[in-house]
Formats: sequence, C-alpha cells, structure tokens
Amino acid sequence: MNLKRISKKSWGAIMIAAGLGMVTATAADGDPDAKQEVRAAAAIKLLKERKDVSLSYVKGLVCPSCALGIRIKVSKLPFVDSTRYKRGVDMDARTQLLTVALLPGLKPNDESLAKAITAAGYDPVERYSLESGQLESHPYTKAKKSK
Amino acid sequence: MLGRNAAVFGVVFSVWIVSADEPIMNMMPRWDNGWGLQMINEYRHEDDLLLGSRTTYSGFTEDVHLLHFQGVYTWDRSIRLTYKIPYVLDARREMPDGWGGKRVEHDNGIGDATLALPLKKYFNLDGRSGSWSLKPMVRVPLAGDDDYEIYDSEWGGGLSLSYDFETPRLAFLSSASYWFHDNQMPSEIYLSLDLGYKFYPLETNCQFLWETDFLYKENGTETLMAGPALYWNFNDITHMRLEWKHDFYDRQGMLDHGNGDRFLLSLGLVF
Repeated sequence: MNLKRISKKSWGAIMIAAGLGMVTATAADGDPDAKQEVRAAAAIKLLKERKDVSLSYVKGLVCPSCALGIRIKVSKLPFVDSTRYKRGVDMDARTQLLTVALLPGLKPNDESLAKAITAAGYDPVERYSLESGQLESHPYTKAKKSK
Repeated sequence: MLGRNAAVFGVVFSVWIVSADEPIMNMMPRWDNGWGLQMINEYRHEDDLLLGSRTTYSGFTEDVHLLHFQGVYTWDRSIRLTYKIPYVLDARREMPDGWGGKRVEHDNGIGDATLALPLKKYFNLDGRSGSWSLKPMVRVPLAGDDDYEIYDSEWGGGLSLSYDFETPRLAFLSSASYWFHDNQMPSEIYLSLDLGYKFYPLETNCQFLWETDFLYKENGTETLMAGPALYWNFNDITHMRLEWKHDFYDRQGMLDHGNGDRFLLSLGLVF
C-alpha cells in the first residue's frame, strides 16, 4: 500500500484530527470533580443521609453505561437489598462512589463485593464508614488486577 | 467510450465503514460473561459519480438502505467475540449506459459477515477509565449475485488498533484499521477519531459526539467524512444511537459514487 498517494488535503485533515485528539487527551487527564477531598465530602454526606448501605470508592467508575456490569454483578450478592435504588446499586460517575443497599441486619461481605466489582471491569479501592462523625476508610484487598 | 469503461470499472464497491465509537461492541459489555445484540438501520445517499476528485457524472445517484445485525460476547473483559452481518434491504444506483443515458442497477440480500476477536487492556485511573484494543478481523463471504454488489462476496482479513478513554464529562475514541481482501478489492486503511461530551438528563446517560473517519483504498480512493452522533442509554438494557455523517472530501480511485451522506439509527441491548 503506497501511502504517498494520499493527498496533501487528507494528510492535513489527519494531522488536525490527531492534534485535536492529543489536546483532548491531555486536557482530560485528571478530572477536578474526582479529587479525594471532593470524594470524601460526598462520602460523608451520603453516609449521613443513607442508612443500611455500603459505600465504596471504585477507581475508573466514570461511565454509568460501561459500569452497568457493576449493577449486574453486585445486585446478585445475597446481602444486597435490590428493592432500593436501581436493583440495590447507585453509582456516581463524578465522585466514583458506589452505594450498595444492604438488607436489614446484614453486613456486606467485602471480599465478594470486591470480586463482583472486579468482574465488572473496575478496581475497588476502599470502603467508607462513619466513626463518631469522622470518615474511616477500609482498603479492599486486591481481588484481581484489571486486564 | 468513457461511459462504457465506467460501467465496467464501476462494478465493485462500497464503503465498508467502521467507527471507533461502538457503544455495544466496543465499550460494552465490559463485564465477564456479558453479551449484547445490536441492530443498525443505515441509509446512505450519494449525489454524483466521481473519478478522482472530478465529478464525472453529476446527478448519477446511489441510494442504499441497510440493516446491520451485530452481536458480542465478553468472556473476560480482556477478550470478546463479535459478529456483524449486514442485510441490504435495497440498493439502487444510476450508472452511465454508454449512450448518454442512465442505467439503473439494484442489489439486495445478505452481505459479507465480519467476525472479530477484540483483545483489550483496560486501565482504571482516578477520574478516568479506558482501554487499548487490538482486534483481528475476518470477512466471510456470504453475499449473492445481483446487478451490482454492495458487498462483494470476498474473503478478507483485517487488524485494528484502538485507544479510548472516558472521564465523567468527556469521551475520546480513536482507531486505525487495515483490511486486505482475497480477490479484486483493494486493501484499505481506516482512521477514526471521535470526541464526545457526556451529560445525564433525567437520570439517563447521554453523549454528544463529533465523529471523523478517513478511508484510504489502495486504488487511490480517499474519503473524509464527519458528523454528529447522539448516544442515549435510558435503562440498564437498552441503548440508542443516532448518527449523521457527511462526505467532506471525496476522491475516487476508480469510477464510483461519492459526495454523500449517511444516516444511522441503532438500537442495542446488553445483558
């Protein structure tokens, strides 16, 4: 295939498109909404408002459509109350926080929750709880590295 | 004479478009043992017959109405299998009859299938997620014989490399593909770049995209097409997409239709 035959106009368009792409890729590197302090404030607010929930930070949870797998996998866990939120799961793409509704009197199994999130294509980082009004984080042990 | 030669040389072709932004086939399902189905209704209209950048026959149009049936299965997020089968509902084109008039040709029926094995490497960052993909592809001849062929009933092979990422507000998708064919069709290169803005009306997921595709064929054909697309995911299962692309630059290596527009409406289901 002789690429020299491609016209100057087309090469120009390809270069402009590539440049635009690089600018977008650079500009999008790190979203201010996802900073740790913003997430911590959102986590405290959610834990005060919501009862019987497990709240986790899931790295990469920025696309609600792509993350549908989290709802599919997590809603099947035995401690999840699928009558609340959407099948027991609420996701916030801006803060990457995952709220899981728990059945009354049941505690979440962190290992199976982490496994379900990983099987959905994302990385569970930590679970949050409120201890005397202070946010406590409980890191997940890595289930399986993202491929 | 030109008209007769044109008719002979014009027996082939179609633009076998691929796009980087494929919500069902590329971005989803990302989860283990996920699967999805998609149907795309495509309508294409082209205004003129071109040879090189010159309009050789103005007003010789081509109208193509297609349905695409597609499916995907994800074993593990790093490996999935996809198929695409097009069905030509009706294709009609006007060609020179060699006597100064027009000859109308038709095509319909099943087209050539494409099987692919996308291999993906995902990354999850704080506020950003995406993937690198390597996709070997095979084109399987299924098309029959008609006045002319939208799909040429040829074996082919292809390889695609793509990179995409998303933040809560932005989406970036790019891909480069190379296709070679068994018989008379020239090999092809596709470059695709999509930029998207995400928004969330009424607790649904929407994305507005501007998509740019460039096609180069070994016979010298170059087509630069671009246009807007709107993606809407309104529940956990159903995904819709509306797309319009216009040929901003068209150069045909052999006599073929160009200077056109494409409209696509797709409906996808994932489980």
